[in-house]
Amino acid sequence: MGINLSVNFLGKKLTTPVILASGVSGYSDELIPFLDPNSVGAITTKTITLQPREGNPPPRIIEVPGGIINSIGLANMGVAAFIKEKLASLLKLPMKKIVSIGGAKEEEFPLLARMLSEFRGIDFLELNLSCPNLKKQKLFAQEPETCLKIIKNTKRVSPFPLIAKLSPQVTDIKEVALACEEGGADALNLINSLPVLCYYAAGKKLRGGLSGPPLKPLSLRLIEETRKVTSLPLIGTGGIYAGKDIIDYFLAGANCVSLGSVLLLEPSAPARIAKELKEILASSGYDSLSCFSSSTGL
Amino acid sequence: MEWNLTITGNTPLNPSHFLLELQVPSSFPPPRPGQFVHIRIGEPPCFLLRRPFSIFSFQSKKRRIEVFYRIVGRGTKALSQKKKEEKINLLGPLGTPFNWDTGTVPLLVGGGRGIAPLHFLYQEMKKTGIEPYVLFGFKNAEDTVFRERFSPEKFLLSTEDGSAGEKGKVTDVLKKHIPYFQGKINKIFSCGAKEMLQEIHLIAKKEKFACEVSFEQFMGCGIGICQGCVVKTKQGYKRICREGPVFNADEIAWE
Repeated sequence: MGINLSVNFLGKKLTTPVILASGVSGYSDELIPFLDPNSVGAITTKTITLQPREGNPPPRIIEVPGGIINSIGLANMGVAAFIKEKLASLLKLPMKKIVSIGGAKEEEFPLLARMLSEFRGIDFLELNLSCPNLKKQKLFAQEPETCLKIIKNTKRVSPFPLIAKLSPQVTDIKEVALACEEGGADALNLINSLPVLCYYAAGKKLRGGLSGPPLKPLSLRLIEETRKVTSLPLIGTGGIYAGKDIIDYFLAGANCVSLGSVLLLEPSAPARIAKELKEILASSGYDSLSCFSSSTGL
Repeated sequence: MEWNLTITGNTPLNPSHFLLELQVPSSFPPPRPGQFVHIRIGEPPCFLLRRPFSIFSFQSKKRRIEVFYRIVGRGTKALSQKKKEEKINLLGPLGTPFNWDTGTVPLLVGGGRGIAPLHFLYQEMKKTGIEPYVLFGFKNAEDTVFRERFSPEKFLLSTEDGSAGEKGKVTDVLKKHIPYFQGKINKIFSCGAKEMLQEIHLIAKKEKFACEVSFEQFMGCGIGICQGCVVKTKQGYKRICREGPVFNADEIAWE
């Protein structure tokens, strides 16, 4: 039986529900040799900022029992160099393209969207409202009013649908989700890594974002709660290492998923995961993902 | 670049040091000294990141690569328990190798497990008719593996406790012997802890020797994507897995 993994996401057809998350796909060029393009629905760039950022001092990545802590600090070449050096090859890729943008200040988000607006090969913009590795006291994603304002102002100038990437470190995810929806977000991505701290050697600490398997149950719960209050498409992120993880995300109410940490271990993981997803559907007698339409509400 | 290889040997050299031998297919790109392999030790959730290891040797006729490692944590502990005939997944060969040419008169300075890429460099240099000087430093006599592989007349050994070779840190032993090397060598190649590499660079700079250093560093992806392994250079942070692990020591912004 031919299994069709394609999903409709904001009016565009994704070959599979598998999106490659921001930060683990670079600008796409280094990862592409490892990928089977048919297994990937969309690829998300590193978060691009207005000015180049050199990122945080090392160490930047540490394995802790069951998870990974990173503190890259949004190291990136800045939007001008990204447009000049990386965008053309990104736009040639067969999968859908999501450019992640991040502002040090609220007003930088619409500026970035405006600078990218002429490159219509971009499919979506993702607003990184939730990077845990910046010096800011509070994440944008922890302030519903700020999220609303950023999205509203970006929406005005963006020809692309907007995805808001949210943080798990909030009192009430529903409040944030609704603020994003009111601001005009087209979809939500839950969740970014969880702000944590570890001592990796005597007296030496790393403050960073926790990712990997521990994030999955947290993300599932937040997706389930968010799904209760909004019909916006949801991307589920956190701890996806196998096809069966995707099923859990669909059951909780996600429409697509994004792979993060697994790509660090296994850059060719999307093909394996898509194959596993097909096998699960086939063994249950389904030939597409439409069986999940009741949980996703779409 | 991703391979499932068969382990042809995983031999303890002493309680903490091992030599892993892997059979590679004919399509495996011939590695160059300084390059590394990124080994998948185990499965999630126990092992979420690969571990990088310098290539210790490559035998093109036998199609074998060797990896020399010391048990330093749970990843290398798990690696030491792998048996002959088991399969192992790795990415490689990765990274930027050492540079030399026919005019290079090299001194290789290694500390501890940092001897691994230098052993491969030694083998490849010898193939091109270059006989390098070698200075290796270890903690104690028990760790002094592979000394028989180097020409004794050009090989210096040191241990921190003095139980074999000369007593002292490898950098102190190098300083002591600088008069001997003056006028003989023109480039130092080194691998070891960052503090050691910094001292080696200072010595090389003072003596006007060229100097390349290879960094030992925990990595994320190993293929240049995540920017998890970086070193500060005079041109900003550079990725150890991609622009490195070998750098011209003059490029590094030593702290």
